[in-house]
Amino acid sequence: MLQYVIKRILVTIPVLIGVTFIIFTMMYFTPGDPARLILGDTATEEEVTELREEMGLNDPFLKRYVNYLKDLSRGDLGESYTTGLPVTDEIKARLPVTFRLAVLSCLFAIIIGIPVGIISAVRQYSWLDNITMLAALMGITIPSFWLALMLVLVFSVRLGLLPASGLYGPIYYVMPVISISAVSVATITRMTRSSMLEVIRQDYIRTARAKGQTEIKIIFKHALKNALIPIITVIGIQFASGLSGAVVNEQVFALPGIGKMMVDAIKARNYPVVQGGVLVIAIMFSVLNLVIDLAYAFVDPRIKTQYSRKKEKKGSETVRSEG
Amino acid sequence: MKKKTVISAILAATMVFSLAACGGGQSGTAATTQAETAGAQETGAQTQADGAETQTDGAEAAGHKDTLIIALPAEPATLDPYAHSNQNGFICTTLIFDTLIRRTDDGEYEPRLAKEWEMVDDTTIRFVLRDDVTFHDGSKFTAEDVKFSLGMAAESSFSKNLFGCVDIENTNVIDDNTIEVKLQYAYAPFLEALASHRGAIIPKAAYESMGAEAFARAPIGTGPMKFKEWVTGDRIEFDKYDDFWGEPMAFDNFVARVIVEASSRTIELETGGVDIAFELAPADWNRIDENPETQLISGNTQGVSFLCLNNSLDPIKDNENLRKALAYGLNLEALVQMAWQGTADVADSYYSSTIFGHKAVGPMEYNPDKAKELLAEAGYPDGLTITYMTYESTVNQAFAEVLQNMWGQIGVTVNIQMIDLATFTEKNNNGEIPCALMTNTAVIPDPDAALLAWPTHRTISLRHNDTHIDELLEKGKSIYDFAERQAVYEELQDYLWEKMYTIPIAFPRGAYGATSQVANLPFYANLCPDLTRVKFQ
Repeated sequence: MLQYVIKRILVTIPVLIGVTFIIFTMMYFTPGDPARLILGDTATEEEVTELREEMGLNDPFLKRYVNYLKDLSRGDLGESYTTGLPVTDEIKARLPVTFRLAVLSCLFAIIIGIPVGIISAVRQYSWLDNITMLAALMGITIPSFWLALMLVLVFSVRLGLLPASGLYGPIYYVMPVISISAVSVATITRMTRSSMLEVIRQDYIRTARAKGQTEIKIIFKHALKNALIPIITVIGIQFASGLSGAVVNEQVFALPGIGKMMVDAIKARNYPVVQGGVLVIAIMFSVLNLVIDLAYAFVDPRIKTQYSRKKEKKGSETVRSEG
Repeated sequence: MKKKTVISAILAATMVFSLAACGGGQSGTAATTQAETAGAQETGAQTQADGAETQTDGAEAAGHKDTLIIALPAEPATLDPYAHSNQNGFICTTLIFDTLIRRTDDGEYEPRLAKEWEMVDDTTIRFVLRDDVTFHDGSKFTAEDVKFSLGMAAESSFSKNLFGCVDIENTNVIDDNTIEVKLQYAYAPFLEALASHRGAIIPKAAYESMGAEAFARAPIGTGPMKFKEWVTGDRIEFDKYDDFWGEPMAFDNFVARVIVEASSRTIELETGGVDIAFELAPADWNRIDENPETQLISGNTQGVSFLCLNNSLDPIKDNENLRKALAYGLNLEALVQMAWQGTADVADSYYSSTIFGHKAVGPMEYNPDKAKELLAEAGYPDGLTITYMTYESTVNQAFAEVLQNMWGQIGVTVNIQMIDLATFTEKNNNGEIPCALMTNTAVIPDPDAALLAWPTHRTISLRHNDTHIDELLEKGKSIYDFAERQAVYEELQDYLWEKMYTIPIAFPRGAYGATSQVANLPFYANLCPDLTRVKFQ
């Protein structure tokens, strides 16, 4: 298992280098001059050229990329073109907000989605199942920004119950979490339902019932554990998309998250911030993928056995080649 | 049947929810609820934002506000007044920095850091400074700081269009409280520049010891408020400066919140989460104006939106008849109404009437027949195709569509290319934009600033190459006599109208919103109000 984890971490390194190369190339070929954007229309051509030189923008592509990798190896993500602050500081200031929101939204989605999905599956085609599925369909189809604005109009403007924007206390998280997690709640509910439906039709569930096992035990001990694999995958995907920043929600609720930072950086051709942001998001995705893979093994012992078998097989292959 | 009933009920509930949210108007109960909760919410928000101690005092509980909260559409990149040209930054820094002089509502200059001043000759101005002023770090304000600030302004690419005239080498610090500022050439708008937010005085010693980057994030000035905290992406906070030399302000704390979404700024204003909101969406103007809890402060800005024609590219180049044909082909009343939705007036000249020397030379009448006639004379009897470039914004999109339709009626096919702002800026400065709607907003209410796009050395895509314009611009800015100066700018506006290198389209109006508690906040045509004057009712 440990070997597997180490292998996965090592595989991540070339992936991340690939990510830096792709984003660097994309930004390099995107039209728009950061120097001109910084200095504005009133600056002369000489001033712009001078600033480009200072920023190293006149260097050839490969030289710039190699310099970037060199800085990166020292943990230096560069400085923001617009604020002059180190990119790490910019990301550090925003990442906690995005992270907190992603975690809370994910937890909210799990707490609502899994139980509702189970009930829906167990009471298939009941009125409760129909309502749930309709609500889930709405959750997936309603645009996030619309839901966010509607929540604000109802709960802030009309009822005056919740603050409209900002993040200055627990109550400020309520509406952003609901609007960000709407899609996740719906997706997790649907996935739980379909996965559970598949499992509860299996022979071993029938056997458990025939043995006289209580329904609660059948559902939670026998069915849910086996139905969890696809649900974990979906949770992982939803959590990862939350981590990359919910741009629209960040705008509506005036949240200083990483999504808004990235959009602004792209608009301003703020290369270091875009590159740094993408890299951090890529690292988070890689780590999350690894955690999900490990969670599979934790939930389903068969997968754990597969890892061990692979190891054994490799071991025997080595012996054979040596022989 | 049962299933259908359930689905219908849910759909009905959804519709009610949407309608309740979208419905306009403020019925009595709803409005009262909103007003009552606004206060409570505001206290909560401020308590959290300010770190408890600033808001939960007895005065606040008794209804006295001591914190001014504003909503900005974007986060300033820096608070160094010479390192940016961003409106949002200047809205904040008017509280941190002082200027030597200031414009009064009557249009006169009043003393600020300078007690008195005298024009010794056309290129020499002597300022006698106050001797009771200290910076927020406790150091004394002296003439050296004025010289340093003017030097920074003269070198900054953002300010040198106003302060490039300063001859810093020959500017003499006579003593701690007297400075003789030398100009390289006579520059009539100089006092106006000094009185504007661009004329901020910064401390030499603190700036040099902190370094530019640190100063930009935690500025020090002589203004009534001192810097407290900057939470990246969220807010900037200032505290009252107790040793401020001037009149004390009506509030002790200031919070500038960054709320990017225009509708969210409006909602925060309506719910009392902020006291003043900037850059409101035109669609929200009426709502704010009609709501008894809020007020709309609007007026004519110092901007002009014009159709920039690239005079260095075919078919516009050297073709006055074509340019005029294009102008005659525009129904400006309809165009401005549709694009700006009633938040702009038709432009009658090359700069707004809020600026000195304005002369109504237009607007051009709508005459499609004349347009077609001129097109034929210009060598395009069967029409032509023009590429129109723009970037995404509500006004730009509507404008492009209406323009395409209007010019289509005179036989001009408009090929619209929508690009992003960064690409647009680059292309504009490379002279690659054939035709586009552009807006030029004067930093100060002076024609030299208003006509910044016109000198031939400018890089934007106008590129007319007409040196007579340069001559008139040079002449205009060097004359101190009002009447003489006015005559030059009137001549210039007549000349520009005759040549029609660009087509003036609209004078956009501006607005900011405030809660009804906010008083003494007049409209500033540069959209950068002096917040030091704000009082709470």
